[in-house]
Amino acid sequence: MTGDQGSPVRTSNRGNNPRPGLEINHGLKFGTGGGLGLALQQLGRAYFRHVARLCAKAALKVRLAPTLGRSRSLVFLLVLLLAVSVAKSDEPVGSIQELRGTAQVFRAAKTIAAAVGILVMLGDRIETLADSELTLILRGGTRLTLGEDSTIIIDRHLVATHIQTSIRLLLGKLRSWVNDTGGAGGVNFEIHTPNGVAAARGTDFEVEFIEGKPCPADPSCLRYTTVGVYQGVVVVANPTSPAGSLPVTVTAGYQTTIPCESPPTPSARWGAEELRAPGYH
Amino acid sequence: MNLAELEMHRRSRSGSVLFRLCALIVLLALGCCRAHAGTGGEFFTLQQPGHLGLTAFASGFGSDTYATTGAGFQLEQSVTRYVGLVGRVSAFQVYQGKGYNSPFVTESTGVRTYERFEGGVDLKPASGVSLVVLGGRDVGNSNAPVIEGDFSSWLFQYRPYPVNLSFSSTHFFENAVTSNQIDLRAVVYGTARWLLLLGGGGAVWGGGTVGKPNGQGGPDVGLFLREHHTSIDLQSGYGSSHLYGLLSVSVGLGWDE
Repeated sequence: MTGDQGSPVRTSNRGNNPRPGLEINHGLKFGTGGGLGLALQQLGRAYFRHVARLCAKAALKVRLAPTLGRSRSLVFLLVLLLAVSVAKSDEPVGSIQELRGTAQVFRAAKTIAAAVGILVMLGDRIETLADSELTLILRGGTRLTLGEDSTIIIDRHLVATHIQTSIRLLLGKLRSWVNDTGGAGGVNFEIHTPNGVAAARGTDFEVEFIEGKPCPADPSCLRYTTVGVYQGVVVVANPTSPAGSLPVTVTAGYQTTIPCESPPTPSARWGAEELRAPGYH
Repeated sequence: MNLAELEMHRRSRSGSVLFRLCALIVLLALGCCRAHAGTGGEFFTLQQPGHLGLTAFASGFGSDTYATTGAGFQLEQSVTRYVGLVGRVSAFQVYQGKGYNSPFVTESTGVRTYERFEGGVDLKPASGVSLVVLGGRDVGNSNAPVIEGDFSSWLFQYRPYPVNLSFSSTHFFENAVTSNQIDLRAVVYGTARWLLLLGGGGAVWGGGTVGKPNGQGGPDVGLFLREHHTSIDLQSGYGSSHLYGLLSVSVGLGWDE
């Protein structure tokens, strides 16, 4: 990971707090809705920390045979690498820039009231309540605005030569302004909903996952994803579609809808469905 | 035409219009039932959660022979996925003359005002298709029943230039005139924030005190501001009311229950 100049996010090596949030990210995240993959990822982290501590103790306290003298430096190197690896995975991925109303950050077994300036860690589950809106700035400059009654989990955010971001939108609306100038190798930015994936490169778009309301494209379906594009191009697919979903390319001013396990609808003019007869009728 | 003849004409005319409207509703309902018969009778399943929509509108028409303005609001409550209940309240001012939507028997020389209270159903047999059928009454300087049907449908919805066809028909029992408006508009340009529509449309009205059909028509320009749910529509053209301009603004809001 690389620190990015010009990003409003304070990373661990900047600012007054050396590693804010590090201590409370040590627990496992079972029961916080992070999913099995996330739980295993965190189990792995905890395991690495444990091994690192044991190795450090062993290297310091146990008198090793002279034949293993050379290996001691290797052990130290290994410990150092592991420690660095663990520390990197706990770095903040962004911070809360704006907040209107009430939102919460679920981190490990703790619930944190969201506030402007709070750092967001990988795996955090962020929820907004009714009449609330929260804006996050990720490292690399990508901006996310979470609408009311919405929930996201940031599963992956790597800022290197290639920026890779994966966010799960469990419910509600998320608008993303993807900064495509942060990585020389390009940007791979994905929003996953329970029935869809929207992948973008250098764009401004909005994804909404709605449950419990009839889908306009198929009223018999009560859970659906909509993707509308302000700028750029977004490729949308439904990985849960049993028939196999051909991705739909959505350009600026257009939208698509993914009803339940169906493939995305062809892209259509965004907002046209709201229009009826002229007002003078 | 004396008053007795006018009354007879009014009754026969309104009977015919009512019959046509009833037939249309039955046909649409049968079509809906047939279309969704294989999906477990969802036509009759209550929509959960429900949706309440509010549309506020204002319009003005001006020509050298007729001038009118109107404003009001419409509430729509979903019942099933295919049927909603609609209530509409509007108020009109006629400043001069007679025109396509005038319910008056005689030409206006001064300002006349009336309010219109209507209720009915919105049938949505398919995505992008809507037929609102309303019945109600004018109160004020016009004081008689009125019935109305508003149809709107999108064509080529998934093409770059989707087309909206809309048709409205209103029968005024006050003067036994039936007024029809039709518009065909295509989305010719759009961004994520607004859509520009171009097309053509007009009105044909007749019967009752008007007698032979009158008409007017011209190009339409429409602007839809998506984030504000606001439509601004303009039509200008020529016809029985000579050169005219018609402008309307409508704003739609909605709440899930």
